[in-house]
Amino acid sequence: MRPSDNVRLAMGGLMGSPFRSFLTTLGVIIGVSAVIITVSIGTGAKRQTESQIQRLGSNLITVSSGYRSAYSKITNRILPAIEQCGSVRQATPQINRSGTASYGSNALSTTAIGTSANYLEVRNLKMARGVFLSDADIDASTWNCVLGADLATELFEEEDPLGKRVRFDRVRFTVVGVAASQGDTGFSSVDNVMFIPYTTMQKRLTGNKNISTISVQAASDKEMDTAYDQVYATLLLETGDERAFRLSNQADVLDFAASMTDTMTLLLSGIAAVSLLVGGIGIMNIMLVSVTERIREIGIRKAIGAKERQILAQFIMEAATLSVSGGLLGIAFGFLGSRIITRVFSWPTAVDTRSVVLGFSLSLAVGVFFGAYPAYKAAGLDPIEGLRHE
Amino acid sequence: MSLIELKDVHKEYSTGRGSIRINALSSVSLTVEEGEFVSIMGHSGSGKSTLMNILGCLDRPTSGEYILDGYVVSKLSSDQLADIRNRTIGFVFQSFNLLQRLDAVSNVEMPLIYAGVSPRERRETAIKALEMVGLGDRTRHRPSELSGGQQQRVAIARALVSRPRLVLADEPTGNLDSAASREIMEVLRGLNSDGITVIVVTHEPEVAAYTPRVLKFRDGVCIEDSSAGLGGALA
Repeated sequence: MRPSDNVRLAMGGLMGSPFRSFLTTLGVIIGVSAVIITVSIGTGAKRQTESQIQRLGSNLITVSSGYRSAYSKITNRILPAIEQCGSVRQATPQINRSGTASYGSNALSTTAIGTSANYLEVRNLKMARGVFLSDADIDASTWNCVLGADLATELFEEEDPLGKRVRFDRVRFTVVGVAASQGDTGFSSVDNVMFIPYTTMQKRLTGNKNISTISVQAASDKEMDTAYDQVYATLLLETGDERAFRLSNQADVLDFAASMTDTMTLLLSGIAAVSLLVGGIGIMNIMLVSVTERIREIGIRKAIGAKERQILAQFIMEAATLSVSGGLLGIAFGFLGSRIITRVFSWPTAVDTRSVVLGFSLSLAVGVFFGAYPAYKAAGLDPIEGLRHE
Repeated sequence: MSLIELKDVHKEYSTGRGSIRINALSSVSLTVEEGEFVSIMGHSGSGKSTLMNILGCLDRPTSGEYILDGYVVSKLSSDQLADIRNRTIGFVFQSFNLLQRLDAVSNVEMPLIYAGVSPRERRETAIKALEMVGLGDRTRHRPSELSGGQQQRVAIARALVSRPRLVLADEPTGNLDSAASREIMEVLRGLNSDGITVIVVTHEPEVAAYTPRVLKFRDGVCIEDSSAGLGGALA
């Protein structure tokens, strides 16, 4: 018997009752499209998180104090030591202080970030207008400031902020620039901030030499691990206490985000697997009915010379054709569904090729597995009984 | 060598969870030569259908030997039996046993599918077989669009499409009126004159009248063989 005849035979069997065949495949269609859609949501979320974290700046290592500020050992003298490490390109300090920014009658609770000129480069910040703080601002501890995009629009509305004087708590700063919007990172808004020289922050606002965090940029992607080790060694040398500082790697944050979306994808895939299982049982059910209905056909086929394995192949082929066509439809609906989800809920989705391959092979496996028992029953049928059956 | 040789064949059925045993055939011995035209007569329950199933390699005797074309059937595997049914034997049934969803030519070419013949070749062969039974103009009709006599002719075309040496017809005229019955018997007689051995199971004397040799069965025993010892109807 030729393989092509096997396919033709299976198609003939299914086309005998097309609507029933369609209903039977429904479980597989839903299962496979659920696999595609859930994985696409997971992949989309993962990619979005990755790009958000990447946007914060690349190759970043963050240093923060291990002790409360009164005992902090992360101070100004650490900064040049870190910048001297071979695999470190540059480092920028960051001192955060919350307060109220006001201009005229507008006031907004915000965060002032005391930092240095290279923050722009390390944290991948873009300017919308004016300039960022310069090295001269840092050295002279000037009263210049740069506003985040949201803060600028909240305070100044239509007005041009450049050159205007803004109050932060009880001190006044002159606006020299406005940063471009960075968008929502999912953790905190980075646009409701104002940047001031860290030296000014220390002298006029905090009154000490502490630095909240230092963002360290490695020389390259490949040197991340080396840079991490070098910074660790330097900090240990400078502070003499491994509990005095905390080091975190951007890759750790990425891994954490990835593991969260992986867990979600796994959970949703579990649901999809259950619906595939239900679909498979549906196929088995209908195939058993089909075998009973077609006892006479099986008897005729056996009488004219069909071997047991040819009958087996015919019915397994039918089940496989059912579930594979369900799988293909499911893939199509999966593409459509993730498109709709992006459109309606504006969730980012990305259909993963692997999930398409997975969906297809799962549907094939389901068909063969759940078709095996009915086919085995058909193959073992006594031809005389089949011919006698009304 | 005889085409069919039965030696002391018994067939027992047990029903009612094995408590009741029925002797469907007891100690049947007979030979059929190549090219014979034989009818097997008997009332229902006489064992003629059981004999037919055994001759057609659909069933195996409980004891005794069945030798078909030199092969001892009880020693063959189920795959080998399927091959014999496919190549050596053609079946014609009382209720035609055509697949309703297939047209005439697809029904006829079915045995060739299992023989592994290419689609084009088997279509040609099937159409030739339909022409032989006078249905060359009905190849695309479904069984439901054909009369009983025509359906039975399709079934005969299916039986002869793989050029069998033996055609077994089980009450081939049972569901037909007398005109159609005569038609079918003429077709079978035609097959026989082409050299194919034909065995017809029937309970109608008019049908049995077509065949030179008649075997009569009662209670699983062959009680009369019209040409016992002769063999060879064409001789």
